[in-house]
This record gives sequence, structure tokens and C-alpha cells, in this order.
Amino acid sequence: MSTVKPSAKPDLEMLPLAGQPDPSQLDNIKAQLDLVLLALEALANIGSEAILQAATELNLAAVVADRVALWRLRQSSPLRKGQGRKRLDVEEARSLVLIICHLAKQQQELVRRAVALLEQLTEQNREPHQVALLGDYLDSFSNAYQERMEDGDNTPQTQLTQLALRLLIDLLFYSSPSGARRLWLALMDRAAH
Amino acid sequence: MASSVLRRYTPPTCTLEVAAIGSALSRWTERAVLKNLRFELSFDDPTLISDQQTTIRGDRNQLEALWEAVSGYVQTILLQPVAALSQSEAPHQLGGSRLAEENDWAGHRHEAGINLQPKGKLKHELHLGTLASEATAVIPLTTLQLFDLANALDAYHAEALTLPNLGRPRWLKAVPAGWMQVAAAAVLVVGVSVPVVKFVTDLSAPQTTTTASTKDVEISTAQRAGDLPAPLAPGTSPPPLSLTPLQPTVLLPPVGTTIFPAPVPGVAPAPVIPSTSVETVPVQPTTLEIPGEPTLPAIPNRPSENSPSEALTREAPPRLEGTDGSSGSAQPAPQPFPESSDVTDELAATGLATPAPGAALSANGRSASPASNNQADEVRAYFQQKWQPPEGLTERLEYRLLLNPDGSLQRILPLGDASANFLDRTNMPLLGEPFVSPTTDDRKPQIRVVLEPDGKVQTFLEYAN
Repeated sequence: MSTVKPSAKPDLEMLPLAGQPDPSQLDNIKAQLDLVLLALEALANIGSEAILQAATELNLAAVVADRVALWRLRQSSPLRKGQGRKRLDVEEARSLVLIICHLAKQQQELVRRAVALLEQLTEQNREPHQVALLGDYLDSFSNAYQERMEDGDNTPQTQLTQLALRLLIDLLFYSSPSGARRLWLALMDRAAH
Repeated sequence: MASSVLRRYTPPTCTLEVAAIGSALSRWTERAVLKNLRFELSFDDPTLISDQQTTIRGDRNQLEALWEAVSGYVQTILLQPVAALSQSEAPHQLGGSRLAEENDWAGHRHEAGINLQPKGKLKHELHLGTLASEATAVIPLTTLQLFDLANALDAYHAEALTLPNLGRPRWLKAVPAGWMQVAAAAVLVVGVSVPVVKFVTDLSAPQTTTTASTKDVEISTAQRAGDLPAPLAPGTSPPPLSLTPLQPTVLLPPVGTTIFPAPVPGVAPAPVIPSTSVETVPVQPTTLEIPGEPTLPAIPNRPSENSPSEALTREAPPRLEGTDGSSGSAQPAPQPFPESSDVTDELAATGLATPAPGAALSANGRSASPASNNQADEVRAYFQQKWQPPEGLTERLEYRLLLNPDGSLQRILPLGDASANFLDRTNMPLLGEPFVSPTTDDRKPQIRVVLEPDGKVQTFLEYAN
């Protein structure tokens, strides 16, 4: 009997693919992944450095080698402003899933506290903005969204808030040991519907 | 020989305890073969007093159904379009019909009738189906509670994948309620870590399957070898008598704390450890029939049933033999009771100590509290029936048992490494299940149990407060 330490090695095989997603499905996946990363950035001030570090820890540096590669991956979201969109292939999507969940796990305590606050405020019929952690997160998310997304300036604030809070709850579940599988299945199911 | 194998998962807001009987097949294999799995799940809501905490119990099929329902439900939540969320300003309307449809589509309505429904943006309802009791059919869950529950169940599921389906369905109902049932499985709450109890397993499953499956189990409790306290060398002072509160291995803020954590990003509040009391178990004194015909109470000083040598070994032994147990059989001449300082302090604190510590300990090593000696005797009678020393055991096992006033077990503290290692073979009863007679005066006796490799059993009442 041996003590098994959690393997740092990504297990892409754990993320099954029922069928090759068509381009529109891949678009959907790209957009979703970019949004989840955006939420992580906004909540935990995670920058590209941390994302690249996670890629290295997961032996995914071949997929996400540097800032440019990362930028190109994220720029593949159809929601993003700008031209020259890169195609995101399935392996890249899988890699991003693993990176996101790795980071979410690292930030689980923070995510959990944010959700706890959200629950308490909702219970008390108070606005999430009233506590700093959530207020900062919502502001940061909204700003980033408006800066980077094509429809950013035209999206109502309430909708952005809803999106941010929803992503926060999603992040909680992605931070669990089965988070990568959950995120992947959600992406696949969402793409399929 | 039936031995119990167990797991315990303790995310911050719930506790899942899994117990099973080791099959007789185990003797033919290096790994345990399990059957008759049962579980106990308690929701630790810090805003509720312990009497109102919810605890549910069931068998393996129900546990699998629960996992399936919760896991599937979580996935449907993640699939919900954001639009549905934004339309749910009115509580209780979070895409209700749509989610229900997806529940059906995903087959989450298990035959056990367990399913979940959204209740507003952040709340959920767990409908217990066949797990429902008269008192509880639906359990409201916050998002964090759902998250913790899903994690506990996932962790169990990851480990139990290779478990052979030996469990008789409806085992709980098939077996007459009462003593034998209690004796069948053991679940513990320990304030200190216990080592890995080998879970799972299939005669045909390769070992690697089991170990690989544990890699995701990060919320599994303190049952990893790495968490073990350093073994106490003989002669070192034992752990303090006071029972330490449970420490969840995942240090996260609990749900539902009424006080806001300081909203400073990156600074975590000190976690409030919720009590994991399982005192909600209804106790039926009528089921407290003890097959072992316990010795009568209030006759603490009667070694007559013991041979002289037994009487000698019943001199209170040192509490800890450390890891060197093979030498423990021969006791030196009677000496001052080794549990000097902390126990006597406790005794003094509880007013139970007699002026001379030695006088408090009769020839059979018990202090003089007739009411609670009753329980100590019953505990001894129980283990005299149940204690089957495993082959290869060379040292004595010692446990400190804290009883509830109703006679059920509140806490089990293994003393020493071997005791922790072998806990699953002791037929220790489940926490909260009827065990011995209730105390007459609402006291909570603490009893030390010594199980010898040669089959002898000793119990010592340490104190009752």
C-alpha cells in the first residue's frame, strides 16, 4: 500500500469527447472558457503569469508556452474584440480546462468565501456590491468584460452582474477534485445543445 | 470473521461516514473484501443546534443513488444558461421546469426516489426518497452545502468504484434491528488521525485501480498516513485527556456563519469547526439488550469472575504501549495508577476524584461511580462477545470511548498507532447507535477499553461528567 499523491500530470483522457465538435460548438466552448478565466482573473487577480505557471505545473507548456500563445488562445473566443482569431482545437480546449480547474482549486478558499458571502447577502436581501470581496469582483469582472468583449459596452450592468455571479458559482464547482470533468462535460453538453 | 472497514469524508458542512463488513473472503486475499456497506450522512449546519442537525442513513444502493442524484444535479446546474439565472429574480423560479426536465433527461430521478430541485438562485432541495425518515423528507441545501455534499459523495464514489456489489439490498431492513446490527459495522469519530484503512476492493481488481482512484480524494479525512501523528514512544506522555475537536482537513470557511468574515480579499477567516455531533439518533432503550449478559452494576470490586492472572492484568495498564506492544502482557507489581496527572485533574475538575487518587481505583482499576460502572461493564461484556483478535496482532489495543448520556457512543479515541490501525477490526459500534444503557444522571462516561491480543477485554471507567 502506498500513499498516492495527487498527480500533477494532466489526464486528458479523463475528458472524453463524444464527437468532434463542429465550428459553432467550438466557438461556444472557446467563449465559455474565456469567460471562466475572466472570472478567475477578476476574483483572484490571477494574471497571465499564474496561468502560464499552472500550464507548466500541468506539463502543458507545449500548448501554452508563453504570453503570446496564451493571448492567442484566449483571443479565440468569438466574444472577443479584435481580428485574426485563432482556431482553438480540442486539445487546446482540454488544456485550458485543466488549467482553469487547477487555478480554481488553488483559489478554492477564496471562491468559497465569495459564495458564502453571496449566500448571506442574498439571505438578507442585500446587494452583493455591499461587501468588498464581491463588490471588487463584480467591478473587476465588468470592467474586463467591457474592455475586452465585442458587445461589452452594450451589455447592461445587471446582466454582467448576473453573469459574474453565475460564473462565481460555477468556479466553486470547478474547484473540486472532479472539477475538470464537470467543466468539460458542461462544455460538451452545452455545445451539443 | 466479520470486520469493519470504513471511510469518513468531512468537508466543512457535512460528514459522510461509510462502514462495511469485511467478508470472510478477506482471509484469502491481502485486500479487504467488503459487503453490507452502509452509510451515515450528517449535515453540519453551524446555525442549528445539534438536536436539529439532520442525519440520514442507508445502504450502499441508496448511497449510490444519492451520489447519482447529486452529481447529476450539479452538472445540470453548470449547464443552466446564464439567462435562466437572470430571470430568476423571483425566488423559487430558477428555470424550475427546465431544470426538472433536464433532471428527467439525465435520469437523476433514481428508483430510490432521491432527487434535487432548485429553490431560488442559491438554494436547493434534496428530496430524500427512500432515505426519508418520518422527521425528514426534504433537506434544504445552500450552494456550499451542495458543493460539499457533492464532494463527499464524489470522494466516496471514486474510492468505491471497484467495490464488488456484495451488499445485500435493503440490508438494514433485512436484519433485525438492534444489537447485532449495531455490532455489525463501525464508524468512528476520532480527534486524532487514524491511518489509512484499506477501503475497497475487488478480488479481481488490480491494486493499481484502487490506489489510482484515491488521487482525487482530497477531502477524505484524516485517514491518510501522512497525517498521522508521530507515534508515541513508550514512556512519553499520552495525548491530553480532553477530546480535541474534529479538524476538517479542508480548512475552508463554513457555510452559514452568522458573522461576516472580514471582506478582505485573500485573507481567510479562521474556520469555525462545526460540531459533528450525531446526537440526533433516536435512542430506544428497549433495544439495549446485551447478548453478553453484562455483569451487574454496583459491584465494582468483584474480580471473582476472573482468574488470578486475569485479575493481575486488570490492574490498570499503562494507557499507551507505544508501538511496542509485545512486551505489554507482563505487568509489574501494582503501581500508582499511571494515568496520574491529567485524569486526576479531570476527576478533580468533575468532582469525582476521591481525596486519594489510589483509592479511586479499585482492584479492577475502576473508579467508584456505580452508575457509570454499569456502562463500563456493559462495554466490557460487549467486547467480550465481539473481540476477535486479528491474526498477527501482538500488542494490546486501547480506545477511549466517550459515551452520550443515552449510552450511545459519542467519540472514539484510539490510543496509539496500532489501536488506530486495527480499529476496523474491533467491531466497534457506530457512533450514536444504541450501545449500552443510558446513564441515570445524564452523565457522559468516558471509558477506556483494552483489547488484548489473547482475546481478553478490560474496561476502565475514567470519569463521568
